Amino acid sequence: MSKAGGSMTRRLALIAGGALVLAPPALAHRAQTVLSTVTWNAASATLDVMHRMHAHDAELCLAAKTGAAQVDITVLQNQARLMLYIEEQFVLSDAGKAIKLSPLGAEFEGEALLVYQDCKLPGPPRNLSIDNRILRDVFENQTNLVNVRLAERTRTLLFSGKDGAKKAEGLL
Amino acid sequence: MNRFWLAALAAVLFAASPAMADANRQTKGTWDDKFRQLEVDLPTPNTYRTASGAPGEAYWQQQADYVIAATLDETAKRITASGTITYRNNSPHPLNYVWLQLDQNIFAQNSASRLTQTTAAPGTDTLGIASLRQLQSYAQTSHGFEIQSVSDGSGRKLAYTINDTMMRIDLPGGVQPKQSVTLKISWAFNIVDNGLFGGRTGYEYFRENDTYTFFQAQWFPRLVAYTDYTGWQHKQFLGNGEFTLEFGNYDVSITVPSDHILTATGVLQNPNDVLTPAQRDRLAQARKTYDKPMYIVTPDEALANEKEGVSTSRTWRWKATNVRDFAWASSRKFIWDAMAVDQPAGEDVLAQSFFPTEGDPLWSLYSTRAIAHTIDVYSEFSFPYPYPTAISVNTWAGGGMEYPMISFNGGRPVKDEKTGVKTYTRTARDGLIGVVIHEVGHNYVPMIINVDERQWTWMDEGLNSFLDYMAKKRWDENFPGRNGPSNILDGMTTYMMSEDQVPIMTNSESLKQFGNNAYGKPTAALTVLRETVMGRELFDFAFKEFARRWKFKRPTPADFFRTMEDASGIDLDWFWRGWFYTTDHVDIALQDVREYRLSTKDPDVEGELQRQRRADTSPPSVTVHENRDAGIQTYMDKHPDAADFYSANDEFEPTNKDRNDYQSFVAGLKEPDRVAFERALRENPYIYFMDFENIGGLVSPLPLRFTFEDGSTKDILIPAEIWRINNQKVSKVFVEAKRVVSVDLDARHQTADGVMANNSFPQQNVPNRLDLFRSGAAGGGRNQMADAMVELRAKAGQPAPGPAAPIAPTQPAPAQ
Ligand SMILES: [Zn+2]
Repeated sequence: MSKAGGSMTRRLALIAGGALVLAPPALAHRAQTVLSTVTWNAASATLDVMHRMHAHDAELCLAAKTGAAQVDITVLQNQARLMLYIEEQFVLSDAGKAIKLSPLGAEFEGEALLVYQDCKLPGPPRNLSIDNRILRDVFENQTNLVNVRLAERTRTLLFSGKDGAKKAEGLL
Repeated sequence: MNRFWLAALAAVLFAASPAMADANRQTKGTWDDKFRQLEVDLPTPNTYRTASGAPGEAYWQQQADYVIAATLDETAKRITASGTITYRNNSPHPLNYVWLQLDQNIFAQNSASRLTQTTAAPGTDTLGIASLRQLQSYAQTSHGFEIQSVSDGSGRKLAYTINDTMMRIDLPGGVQPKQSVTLKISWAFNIVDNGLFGGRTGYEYFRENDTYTFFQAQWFPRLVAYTDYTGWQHKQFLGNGEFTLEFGNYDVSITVPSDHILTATGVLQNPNDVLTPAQRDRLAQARKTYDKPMYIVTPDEALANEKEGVSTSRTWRWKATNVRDFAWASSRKFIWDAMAVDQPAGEDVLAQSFFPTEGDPLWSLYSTRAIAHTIDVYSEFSFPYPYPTAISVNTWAGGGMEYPMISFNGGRPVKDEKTGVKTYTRTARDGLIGVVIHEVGHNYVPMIINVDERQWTWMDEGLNSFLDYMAKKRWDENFPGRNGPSNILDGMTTYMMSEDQVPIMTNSESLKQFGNNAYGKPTAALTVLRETVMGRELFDFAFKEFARRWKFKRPTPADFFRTMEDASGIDLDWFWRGWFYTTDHVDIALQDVREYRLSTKDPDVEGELQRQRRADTSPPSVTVHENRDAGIQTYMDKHPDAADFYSANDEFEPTNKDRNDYQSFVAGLKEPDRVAFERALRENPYIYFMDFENIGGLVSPLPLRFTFEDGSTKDILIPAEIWRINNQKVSKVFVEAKRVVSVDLDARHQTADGVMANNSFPQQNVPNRLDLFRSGAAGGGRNQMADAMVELRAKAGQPAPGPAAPIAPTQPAPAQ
């Protein structure tokens, strides 16, 4: 039933690739989540972004995207592929103006993969808006958390389900 | 304004003002009693559960014994079964009906779980092929229990009502206290394709060689728990809150194709009927092999077995004593290995793994060894493993699920389709070891310490994750912790500092961020408790006592909190309150350190010191300097005849009165004070005043490290009770023989302090990881990454990455 009144049939494109929306069998062990921080770094006058994700999730993501059986995320080229993906999925803007993040690199901490981005800015963004779709097109239960810290206070944004962009204002 | 609006307004006002609703926070000032005793929040002790946290003299729990015969129809993917349940009512209450859990119904097309599912795709309307296949599958096959008959012990039909995942059976005349009732039930269901439906049970289909493994849980109607604290557990199964169950004895016969290998909760009763003589011999040998696993069914035998198929069947009979559930797995694909685990204070345990060839080489190497290690470590923390066996079955690619004696686990290498070479990454290896430790560990909690998972996920997953963290650190010191860092306390700070949280003490279905809340934060809490707050000796004794008291019984959170205090003699109410009932985090700042020496009170000594300090801190003004350089003489220089006492002596020069006062002070000191004063003068210690501020809100012990002038260090642990009067700011004095050059708070990262930048004096510039990376100190290379990205974009034939950038993976190195 459509809101416009009469019923309306629209064409729905299926997401290609059977494995694209993965429903991990169980449960009981590890939550699908990416922890990100967006921090104003006064010393370097940069907006610093760090994504912490399970390395295996990153591997599964690239495998699903490429249809490959297995991806080794310790390989630089694969990290670059992931960065390209993250650039599409993690989008920042200030009062509607896009903030273009530069890729810094990635490193490992145990099972976690840390991905870094930054952006030189004249000052911290006053009307920051964040859209975080990382892994949400791959895992059904993906929930992402972003801690935004531009000055003293930390604001947390959660992204799951149908969530679109969210604002992080009033932090300055 | 009508009454409705008044009420609504009052409700809004009330909700908007937490100070009014929370007895802890006060309306006058900012006082928040972080040490308020927990008694006001815990349930009142009674004859079932005592104030010490032990089961009371009238403690009771129900018992449900099952005799079941089931048949697997491999072609139809269907289970047909009938069973007799003997339910003993140990409660003091007559029951007119009993409730059973029909958890298989979660897969029914019209289940509450399915009806309340929301779409996964964010923002846009998209449909994954997996979801589409699920929808199509229902058109062919229905799921959920088909209950065929329900009767009492004498065959009389009983009325029953099915409400989603639960079934009420009405008992004419009821079941009285200390009486039993017999229920006979027949049922069937179509097994779900686990790859399609997920969940904790089902079958896995291997397309490449057209084979299957079957792993069955939630496969029979199970008694709902009836307890002293909540009556019938009436929360439906929605998919998150796992199972609250009763203990009982099982006698289960399962008929499967005769070339299957079947494993289950319990002990096999008829090995002569179902195992070959060679398998029985190897099994007997494995029971005496303690150093590493040996095969009962070898990889080659399994591979040969899975290529055939039979039309005959045979029945495996199992018995299990004092378990709260029963699960099994069956396949012609299974490789089977086993080894014995020696328990210093208990019977030997047979550790066993069952896995398809797709799981090797990982599974042969690690699964059974990880089981043995789990039993070693967990038993040290609790009690000897009381069951005869512990089993790990490879049932899917990733994840894990626990049942009594048996667990279903994931973690597999990957096969290159062209070369056929199997490889696995380090993360896949650690994933398998980690999941086996975790799921086998669940035998202790909740399978034996029978916590109520549907109410409190943390009691199940939190206690178990703490123990699995202990076990992983004893498998390999660098075993990765939750969220990455090897130290769980560093791994949890991002979550603990975030805003959108609920306390650990929140019902399972209302939790936000399930993993961090119910697994990670309780692990961090108990680690801080053991390593920092209580110390190992007191913690380990108390934790063991909790395990001993509640082995094969059903504890609540209060029973855990109370026992840990009762057995250690430590008031931990502040700890439970802060870590389990609030969302505060740890951030203590070392604000200031001020150094002092003792005053001798001798005016000659003190005067000279003050004179020096004046010279150091306030040199003569620049005008005086310039005058001197210009050779200008002051008036007093030119007229010495105008000088008096003060001209010759500065303000630090003691007067005779000062000296007399000092003499009479010394003479006036009584014996013990005089000795102390003289000794202090002799030793001349350094005195430090330190200011601490509690920024995060969670009160914490203060582990301090002093570094002295000579390079030596000293660690001091100040208990959290330092915050009991003022939980925001405290100052403390320290007296040291040697001069302190720096002070570090929580140098060993043992309190989960979220901000280390304010933990040192003199303040240290703690660069964050990103800063380090950017500066290249961590081997970061902005250019390398950028170059690689440019290359990929160029290969894709476009300047900017589009959504369809063709990205192909780089092959991983082959496994060793
Ligand atoms: Zn678990």
